[in-house]
Amino acid sequence: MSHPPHPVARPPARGLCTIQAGVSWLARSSGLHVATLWLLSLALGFLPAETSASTAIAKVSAVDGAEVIIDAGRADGLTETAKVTLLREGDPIAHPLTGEVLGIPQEPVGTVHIYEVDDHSARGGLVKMYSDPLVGDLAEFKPTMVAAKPAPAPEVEQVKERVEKLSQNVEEYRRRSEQRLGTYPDFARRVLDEIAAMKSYLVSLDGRMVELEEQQNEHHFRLSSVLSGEYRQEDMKEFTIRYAPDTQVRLRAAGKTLMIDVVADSLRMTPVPGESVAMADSEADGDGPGLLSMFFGSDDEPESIDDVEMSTETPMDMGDAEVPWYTSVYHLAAGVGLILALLIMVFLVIKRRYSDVDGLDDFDDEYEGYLDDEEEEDKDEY
Amino acid sequence: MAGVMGAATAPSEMAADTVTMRSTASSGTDEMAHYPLGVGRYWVYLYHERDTEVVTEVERQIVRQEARQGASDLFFFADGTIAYAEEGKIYEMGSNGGVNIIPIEKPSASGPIRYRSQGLQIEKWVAANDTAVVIDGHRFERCLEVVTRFRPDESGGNEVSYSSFYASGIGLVGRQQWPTDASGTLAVTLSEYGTRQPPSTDGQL
Repeated sequence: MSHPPHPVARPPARGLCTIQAGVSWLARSSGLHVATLWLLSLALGFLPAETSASTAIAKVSAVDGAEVIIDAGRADGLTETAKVTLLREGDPIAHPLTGEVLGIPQEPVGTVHIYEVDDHSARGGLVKMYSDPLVGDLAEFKPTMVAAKPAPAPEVEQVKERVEKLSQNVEEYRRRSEQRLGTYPDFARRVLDEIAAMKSYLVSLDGRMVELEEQQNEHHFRLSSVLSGEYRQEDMKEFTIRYAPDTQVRLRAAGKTLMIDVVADSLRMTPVPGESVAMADSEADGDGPGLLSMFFGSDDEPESIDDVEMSTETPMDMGDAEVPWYTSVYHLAAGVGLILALLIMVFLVIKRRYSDVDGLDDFDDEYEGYLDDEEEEDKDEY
Repeated sequence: MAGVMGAATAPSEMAADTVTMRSTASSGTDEMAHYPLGVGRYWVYLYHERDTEVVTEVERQIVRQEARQGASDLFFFADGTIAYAEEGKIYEMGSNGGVNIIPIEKPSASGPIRYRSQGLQIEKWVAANDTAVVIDGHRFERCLEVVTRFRPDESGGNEVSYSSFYASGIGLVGRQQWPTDASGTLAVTLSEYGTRQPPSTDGQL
């Protein structure tokens, strides 16, 4: 059993991972099969970033037993003790259906150890052989780069001159730099002051913005509460102001507080103790309910519930009940007398009309006589 | 947890906690059993991106088999890949070009497989034929470790190497960089495999 020589140990092959990552990305992005893309990656030749020594290909020009001559030499980077791999190309690998050439096999023939090198040829011996080498076989090797000739040493005087010039330049640069740096503190201080002022201004501006934002949020919250009805249900209370005609309602605003005052007028009616309110009212202004008003009503009577409510809360009526008209003796007597007078007047008028009718008395007499005759006739018949 | 170990070495478990292993297939014993080809076989792989939590799930399934005159049968994958076995190697050919040759026999004196494909120099060899791999607590015995090393054949590009583990009767069960780093994390792990009725492929290929 023969194993091929293992490659020289090297850092982990980053190139493989690069290819795999590329394959996976292609698979995700295009939905292609990764195995297909792997072959595609081989075909496209994803090249690793790192480079190593390239290989060179030569050919076997002569074979003499176990000795092989190669048509590459020192000028091609081939050196003594180098190892050359002999390969032989076989029939192309074609696609079984399309016939397309997909690859060319390179059968390993053996390994040659170079021990003699000329400028354009080299001679070596087989150290490993899989098959007999033939003229025309490929010889693969890693060329060694020829060291370049060292540059001629410069003159000492020239070096000294250049060094001195460089030192002068450095000194000049340092001097100029110090001059420029000397002006920096004042400028830097002004810049810092400006920055500090801007910072304080921005801080105050930020605080004001925060305050405004809070107020806006509060207003927005209140507006939302009002619109949604929450504020009305929870916080709002309804109140009614009732006032009499002789009172005044005064509104005053003190900051966010609305002051409501109900103040009595300058003319205030005070009820007299021990007398009825109606009498006091009648006697006071003369416009109270009199006799006519008892029958035809009064203009002062309330016309609505509101009026009633307002009138009942006047200072005069506070604590007194409404007194009926018949509780006054004078009113009662006047009423009864008026009714009797009317009845008498009506009786007299009716009596007067009966008396004025013509022949009424004669008719009564005749009618009575007629009735008497009929009664006598009835008696005769019986 | 996933790990790779030699036949005579103690298991060294590696982190891969996101797989769920279910099996409905039985292992084979023939030489080609490390990459069994058959209609209906399917494999579900998880691709773990390094240094990230990104995991990509990929399913492969053989949906059709076609016989050839004087050559081995062709097996068609659902993703368009064609595979066939020849002289102890599996040839996988993607629909976008390129070929992947997998040695699935025991190491021989014929040396590694080398070929050029689409600007790459690819070299493969069987590094071990009796390696155990542990993925999510499931131990795969007698695995074949195939190392792949490739580089651009033009200019001097960096070589890239990784090793793939093929379990007998199952196929590819995991892949990690080669040589193994300190963590030994598998970049690709098998999460599910088995055989099921392939979807209808009428009108395809």
